[in-house]
Amino acid sequence: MSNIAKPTQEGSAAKAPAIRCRDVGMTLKKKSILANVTFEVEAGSLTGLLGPNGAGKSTLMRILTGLVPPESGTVELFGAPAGPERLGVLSFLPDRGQLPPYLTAGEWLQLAAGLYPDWSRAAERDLSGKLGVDPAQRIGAMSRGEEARLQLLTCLSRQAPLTVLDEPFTGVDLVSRERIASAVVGEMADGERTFLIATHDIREMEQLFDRIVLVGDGTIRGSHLVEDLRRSGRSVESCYREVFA
Amino acid sequence: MKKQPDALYELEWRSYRAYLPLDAKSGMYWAATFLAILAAALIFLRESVSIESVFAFGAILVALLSGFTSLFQSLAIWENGFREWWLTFPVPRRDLIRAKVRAAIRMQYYTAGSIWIVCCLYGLIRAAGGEGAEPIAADRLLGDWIAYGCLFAAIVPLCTMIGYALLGMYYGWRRWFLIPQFFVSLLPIMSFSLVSSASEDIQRWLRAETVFLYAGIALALAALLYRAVMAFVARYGMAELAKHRPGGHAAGSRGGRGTAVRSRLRVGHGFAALYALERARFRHFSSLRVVRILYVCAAALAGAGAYFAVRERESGLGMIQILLIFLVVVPPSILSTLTQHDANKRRIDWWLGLPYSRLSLLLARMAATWASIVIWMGGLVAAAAVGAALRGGGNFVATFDFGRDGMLLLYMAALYVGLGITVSCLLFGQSYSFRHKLVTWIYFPIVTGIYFVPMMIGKWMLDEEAMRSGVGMTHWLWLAVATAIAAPLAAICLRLGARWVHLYPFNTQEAGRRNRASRRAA
Repeated sequence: MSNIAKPTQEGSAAKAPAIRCRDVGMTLKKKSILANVTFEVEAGSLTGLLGPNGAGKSTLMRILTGLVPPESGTVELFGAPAGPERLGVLSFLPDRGQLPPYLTAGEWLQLAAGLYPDWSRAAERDLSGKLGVDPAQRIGAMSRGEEARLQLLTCLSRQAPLTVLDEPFTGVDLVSRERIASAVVGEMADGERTFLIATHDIREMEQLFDRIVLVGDGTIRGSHLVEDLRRSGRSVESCYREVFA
Repeated sequence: MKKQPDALYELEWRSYRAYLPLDAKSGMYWAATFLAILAAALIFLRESVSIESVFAFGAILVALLSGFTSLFQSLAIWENGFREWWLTFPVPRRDLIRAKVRAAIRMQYYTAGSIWIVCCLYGLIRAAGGEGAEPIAADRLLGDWIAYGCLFAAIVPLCTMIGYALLGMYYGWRRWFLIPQFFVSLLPIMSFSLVSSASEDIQRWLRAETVFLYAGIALALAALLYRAVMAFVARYGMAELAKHRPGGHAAGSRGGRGTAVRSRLRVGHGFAALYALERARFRHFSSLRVVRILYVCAAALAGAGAYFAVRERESGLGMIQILLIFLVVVPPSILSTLTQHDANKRRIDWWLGLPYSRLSLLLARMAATWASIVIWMGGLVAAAAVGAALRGGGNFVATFDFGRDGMLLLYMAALYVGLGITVSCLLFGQSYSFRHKLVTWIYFPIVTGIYFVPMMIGKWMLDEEAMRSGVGMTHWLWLAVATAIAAPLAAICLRLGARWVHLYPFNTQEAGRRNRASRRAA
């Protein structure tokens, strides 16, 4: 492993926003996916990235996490440019991503402890119980909800200061949703971690968001503090409907 | 229950239609591929091989394409997202599979027809050139064209049915049928050296009048097999397809609970953990009962082959050479498909999200793949050694010159392992073709060319004379020159692969389907 940042925030970087995205653009197969995307996510906050299907949320998530470089613009994580070398400071749950089906949950977690330098065995034990993950079950035999919980467990067992979740509720049953949402709330308790969550399940997460960023047709259609929305008598859902309905 | 066989057939045929030369671009691909095959045949097969042998090569190629394409189709259907829709069509199960088989046969007839045209052109060019010890008579050429045309036509349904029989062998006692199927599937590959022989006895068996007989037998077998496989798959395969859940084989046979791998899992930290993650995939694969059965069969085949073939030095070295050739073909083939497979299965984001440099990810994958193949090959070599020792081991040791042959073995190992690693690295650079389509034109010949590498080595780097009398300074010098050219090229491609590997998630099968659909709509 070389040039991978450790999950610590030092000096001025600690004061910088967790994510700073400036004029990000992306074109795939001559089709514009994202254009002039600019927004910031404060450290220690929980931000919702909301938008309809095909809005470019997943591509934006991949760029923010540094998996894919943007064609134009810049992305900074805690004041330093995003990229594969910054994967140590963030924990990413991909949309409909799958873990190796030939491993049991226990084997995967054992490997993950070796793969992620910031892995916390204590968090793993604690969250395994809360999320109801059976370590003896093979991933290939898990239901969607069970695998989603295992994936979230993997993300939250790390000590990375930034957690990015792309559609954590897709295809997940009600009980699993509640477990996932409460695990996120539990992790938010210390106020040190930053969460960016892309989801369609606005009602499920509405009470948790500090800020929402609305993405449509590859552009930012709005960015609001949830508290400001409430003060003006609006909800996240009504704001979403105003923009996209 | 209302029958809709035509609509079903049309649905299946649609999945193949995109591969046909129906527009200028795909026509160019087809023409380029078959002209390349014709050119390769004219370069490599002109001096020592008869026209009938070339037609026989064509028949083997048709058998391999028909057989392996249907085998892959039978494997892919279990994990196909459309499977459950397909199974709920209100038609008899036999009609479902019949439509699939008919569409596959039709597609293979297009391919077989193209190969037949290439063989005919080859014969015509050879006859017009007037080369060889005896002139090629027009009636002989015409006889070959017709006879082998009939044989190609009979081989397509025969091999397609053998491939689709796999659909009924996924679970239960029917997995034992995999053993005969494995040997039958290998028959075309094993026939290569036989039909290339210039022996008068063999050539007699390749003449048009005998080939007509083969075509008749193959057609009769195909008709029988068609009925038998339809009944077999409709009876067992379709019910199992309905019960199967994606990743079911990965879930194992203990109801998805397991500890077998864990006990052997040694997890370190950093690169060691990355390597362990990649090795776990191969460990799981080799723990599957189906794979174990096939591996034991392959070991038995290697042992039996060595028992019958290895008598003295030449045959022993020849056997080692055949096993070494696998190192050039197998690891690069696996590595070139693994990342794409992970992208198609939506596992790649997790892999790319691991906090390691992209180069570390690729190197861990390469190390694990090579380690697994070397371990598997080691088992086959041991089986071959036991087979040879039981029969001609004494003669082999007696005729083995440790100075000359030891050096030859060292040269062979350096040549094949070096070439295998170089090709593996070259193929990593394939991800750059997602960025620049022109690069595809460089990679397409490399990917297809892997299978011609053994032939090229035999011609340029390790000819029959070297196998007889050993290697000299010239061979080592050429190997050094080749290494000096290949090593930097391999390093560049590895770097390119690491630089552009993030484009795989945008180039999945699903993304390709969407792009094709939007192009058609446009």
